[in-house]
Amino acid sequence: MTTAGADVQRGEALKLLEPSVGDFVTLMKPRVMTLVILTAVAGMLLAPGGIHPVIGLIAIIAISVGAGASGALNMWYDADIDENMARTAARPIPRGRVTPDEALQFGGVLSVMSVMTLGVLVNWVAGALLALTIAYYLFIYTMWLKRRTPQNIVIGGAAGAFPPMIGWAAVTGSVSLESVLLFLIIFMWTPPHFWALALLRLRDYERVGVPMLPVVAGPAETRRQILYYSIALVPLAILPAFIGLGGVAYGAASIVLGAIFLWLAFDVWRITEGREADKACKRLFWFSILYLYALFAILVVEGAMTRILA
Amino acid sequence: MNDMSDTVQAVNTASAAAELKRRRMRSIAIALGLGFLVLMFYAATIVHLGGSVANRPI
Repeated sequence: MTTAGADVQRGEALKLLEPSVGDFVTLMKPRVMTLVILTAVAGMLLAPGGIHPVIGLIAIIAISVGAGASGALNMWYDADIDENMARTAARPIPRGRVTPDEALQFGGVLSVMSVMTLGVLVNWVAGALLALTIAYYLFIYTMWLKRRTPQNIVIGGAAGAFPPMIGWAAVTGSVSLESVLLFLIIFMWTPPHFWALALLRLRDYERVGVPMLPVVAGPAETRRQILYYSIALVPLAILPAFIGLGGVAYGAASIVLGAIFLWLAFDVWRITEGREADKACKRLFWFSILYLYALFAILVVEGAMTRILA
Repeated sequence: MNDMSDTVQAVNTASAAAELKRRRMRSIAIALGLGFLVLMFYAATIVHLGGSVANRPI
């Protein structure tokens, strides 16, 4: 090898060892973090009783950092899959910007710090729930279920559903049926959301050997399951309006948005061939994001208004 | 040949400068993070103790 060639290689090796701040932010899955923050804030605002604003802010920061840490640990473990999937190939580890060890250290340190901060400064029920969420996402979903069963995102989806319960626990120091309802909404939302994406990325999942439902049971069964879960989700999402968690605006929005969700899920089930089928999946996937954001944003606004006017 | 060597050297110098900048930014981010953590614990301690903590007999 020439000296010039060696120099270039050394330059590239150095680049591998020097990730930027932005690479670490990407490791935390910032888009997922925004949903975690929104749902945790909803849990906090809807919980009975009060919390000092400073402590509330600390709780939100700790919960979102904990969620980011679990995202980094997920990317550490799934790096081999990520590099072979179009959707994830540009993540920091497959791109060589962050080494797997750096991601593990980053995720591990932030996990411990976020749980300890929430436990010590807010309360230990919330801290324990955050620890459970991180452990569930890493050990139950990422390490155990994801590569073994088509029910991976059904059972694993619980990890993404915990934040409103943690927010609720940060205020009350306990878990209640109302917070479980918020959990259930996200839990039931996860399968139709991810399966709509999995139908679009079927070949990717096949190639890397992740047994998503469309890979194992086929697209037809997946479309049926999407419809079933959507039918279960919509009434659950309307329920907060009837038990006092949501107000009139939430009730109206959950009915209208729920009807659209069902219509789009019905379309996914009905249209099975060609580009129109892909379009139906895309519509449901993007609308499902809007749906969850909108419902929890309305809960946040209503909860904030109630507290301001009280 | 000299041209190629100069180009490689220029690329490596630029790359090293970029690496240094990234390392510096990361160090600053870690320092800011730790500083923020300290402030958070300080603020939470004050909130938990309450305003009357200063109002005690010496």
